[in-house]
Amino acid sequence: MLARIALTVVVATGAAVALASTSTAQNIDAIKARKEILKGFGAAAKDPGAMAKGDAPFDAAKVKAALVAFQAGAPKLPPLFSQDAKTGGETEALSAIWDNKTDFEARFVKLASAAKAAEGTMTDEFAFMDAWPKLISENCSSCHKVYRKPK
Amino acid sequence: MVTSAARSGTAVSWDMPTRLFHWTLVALVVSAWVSFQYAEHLGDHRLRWHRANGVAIIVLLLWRVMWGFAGTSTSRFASFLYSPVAAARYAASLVGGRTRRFLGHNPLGAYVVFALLALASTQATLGLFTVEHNDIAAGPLYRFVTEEATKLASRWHRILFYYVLLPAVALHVTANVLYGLVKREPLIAAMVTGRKPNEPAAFEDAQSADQPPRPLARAALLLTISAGLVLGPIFAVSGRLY
Repeated sequence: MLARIALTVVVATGAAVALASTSTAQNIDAIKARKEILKGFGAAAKDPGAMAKGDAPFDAAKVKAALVAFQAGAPKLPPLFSQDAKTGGETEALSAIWDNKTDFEARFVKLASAAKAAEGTMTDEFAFMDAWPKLISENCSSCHKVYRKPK
Repeated sequence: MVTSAARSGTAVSWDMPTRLFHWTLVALVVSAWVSFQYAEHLGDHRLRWHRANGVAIIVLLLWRVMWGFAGTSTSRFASFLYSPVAAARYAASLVGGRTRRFLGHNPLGAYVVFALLALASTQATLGLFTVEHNDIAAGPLYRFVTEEATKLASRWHRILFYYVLLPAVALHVTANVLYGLVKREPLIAAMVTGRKPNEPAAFEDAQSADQPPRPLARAALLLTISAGLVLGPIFAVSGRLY
């Protein structure tokens, strides 16, 4: 009798654990993939960031490389914030993303189109010094304030 | 010089420069928060307004330190330096429902005022070394510390504001509102008019405030000195004012 009870408990516990892990299973690959793209954005923006602060001379090629990276990465990001990629993988994504999915996804469309437009305008230092902070502030900083855990 | 001659049953508690300081600091702190939080909407992508705000706060706080030695008696630090025991006794009297009245800061409030001044000073000073996380704006002195230090300053600039300074301000505002509602002590009105009613009980610290000669001119001179002491070195080493 005792053995039957013990077996029942073990089976029930196993089933509960399996059910729980199924319901909370997260797509860690998607989380890793989006982190890579976003890290790539950060890396691409590092040199232009130094130029914007006056720490490095203007370099049109590096600015263009960053703008191209934004355009290439932005369309890949929305599917990587799927319903099963909310937690885990040390993600810094806030739940507000899934509460405001339409706004969140629209930001990547806006980033890609703003980066595309900037390719034609950020061609000299003067245009860059005005336009780069605007591009980053309106597309990156404003998004991080709402959708990313503060560092 | 005693300037608190009774007028309609009130006594002078706060001089004009102290009141101007208080409300200007309130406006600048609110403005610093708004100008950061809504920078994109305001079109201030390089956080110019936020940075200028921060430096203005440092100027103002340095002025307050000077005024703590050269101002009217109730504004001088020596007049509201209380021991922890005095603060605890005052807190006990509050809990016990006794009304102990002070023309200047009460022993417990004095600690909050010192804490707020220290927190605001630390917050504004950290801002000088802060770099916006996307590298589009930076405090004027960020070049003089390592990248790790700017990251640390930036992190603490945010943590201190949201988790320490804002709660401390909330505590300060709540306490002052409660004094008005529960104890019928119009402390907020006093910071506007500069006067406190003489009734219902006598003040424990002083019956009148001693004001220095020509307080406004003295305050303006100290503000000029403070601006020079803050802006001069910042400009000299960074080539920027903010």
